[in-house]
Amino acid sequence: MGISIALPAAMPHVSSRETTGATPLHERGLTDGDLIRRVARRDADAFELLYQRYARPVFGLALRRLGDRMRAEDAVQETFAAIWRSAKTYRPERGAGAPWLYTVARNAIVDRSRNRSELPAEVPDTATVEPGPAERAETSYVAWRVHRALEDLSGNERDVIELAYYAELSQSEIADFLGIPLGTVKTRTRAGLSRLADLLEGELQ
Amino acid sequence: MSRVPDFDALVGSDVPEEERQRLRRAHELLVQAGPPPELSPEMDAVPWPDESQRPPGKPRQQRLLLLAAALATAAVLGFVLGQSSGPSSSSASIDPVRVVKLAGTSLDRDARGTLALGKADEGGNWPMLLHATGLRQLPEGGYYNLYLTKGGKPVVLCGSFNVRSGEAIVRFSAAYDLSHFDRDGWVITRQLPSNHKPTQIVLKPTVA
Repeated sequence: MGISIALPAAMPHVSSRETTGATPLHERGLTDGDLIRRVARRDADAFELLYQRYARPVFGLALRRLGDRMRAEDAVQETFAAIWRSAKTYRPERGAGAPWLYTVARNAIVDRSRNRSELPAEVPDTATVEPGPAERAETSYVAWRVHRALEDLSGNERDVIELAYYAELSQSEIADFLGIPLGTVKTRTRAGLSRLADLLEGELQ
Repeated sequence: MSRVPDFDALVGSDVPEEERQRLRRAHELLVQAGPPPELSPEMDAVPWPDESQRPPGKPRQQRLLLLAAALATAAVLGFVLGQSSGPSSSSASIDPVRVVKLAGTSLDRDARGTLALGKADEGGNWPMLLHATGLRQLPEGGYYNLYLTKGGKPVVLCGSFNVRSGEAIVRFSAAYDLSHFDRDGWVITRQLPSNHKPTQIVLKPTVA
């Protein structure tokens, strides 16, 4: 364990963003479509930001389709390689960036699934009760959009939402866990849900 | 998801009906979507496509400038700390032989850091000076760890620290043969009171 010393206020920081003096991309409110167009012009910062926004949605989609973490991780790499290659084909007048990205990801994952498929499975004797392709596709797209929207919440809001919904903690438990008042948990939860409603409104009616 | 949170308990009763319906829709979508997957530490790094080779936004010259700036920062840091009187601050100065630049992961995107590595002493102890900015103050009982990685995974703990004002300068020492670990293989993880695994990496080396 070491010592901790206050940093002089004038100490220079080492950061590519700070040395350029430009506003970081993530602070400029760029849409996914804006970022795709920048990637088409080979903007590395835009590609990084797109990855930050979509790594989890793409990984989630790949995991559902392929059912294996290793293969899903490979599929994420292939998806982002495909985005890098085909960004110039994106036409904003035909729609927003999220559905375009979803299509690119789905195609890359399906291609991977075909290329790496093992021996064909035996045909089952009885009909399955699992969801059909259409239902699976809808569920996948909902998850895609919701997981993407979660990335747009502030860290404080995302923490309480994920702890409430996916760690299954009560609001009192979240307050204890984060060391914040219960009222703050309630405020952040409501604000987070409201922000999610804004982000998802219209697309998933 | 085995237990769906109680919507009414989450939002309370003092919400107008129209807003309530909007929030309920978001609630239903969260339930329908299920939890997002946890990314492995390796996935925090952007998977640059082979075609991209050298990202145009970060040409080699710019990276060299950043490296030079990092070295200059470490030198200034060592000078400032060396000039200070008192045993604590003088012991924090370091003569860096290598500086590793650290960038925030998706868990703490605003965090930045440099780890200056000094020359090992005769006993094989490597002095290190961490300068981190932008790290969030953790809830009570939480703290940050500096780990050495192997194969991208945190495997050996080098020390722990806390952050109050978002900035920290902390001296560590590693008594390991660094050749057994990843080159520039240091990460900062955050340890929350109920999470005892070093899986939450908040700072990791930038891709050279």
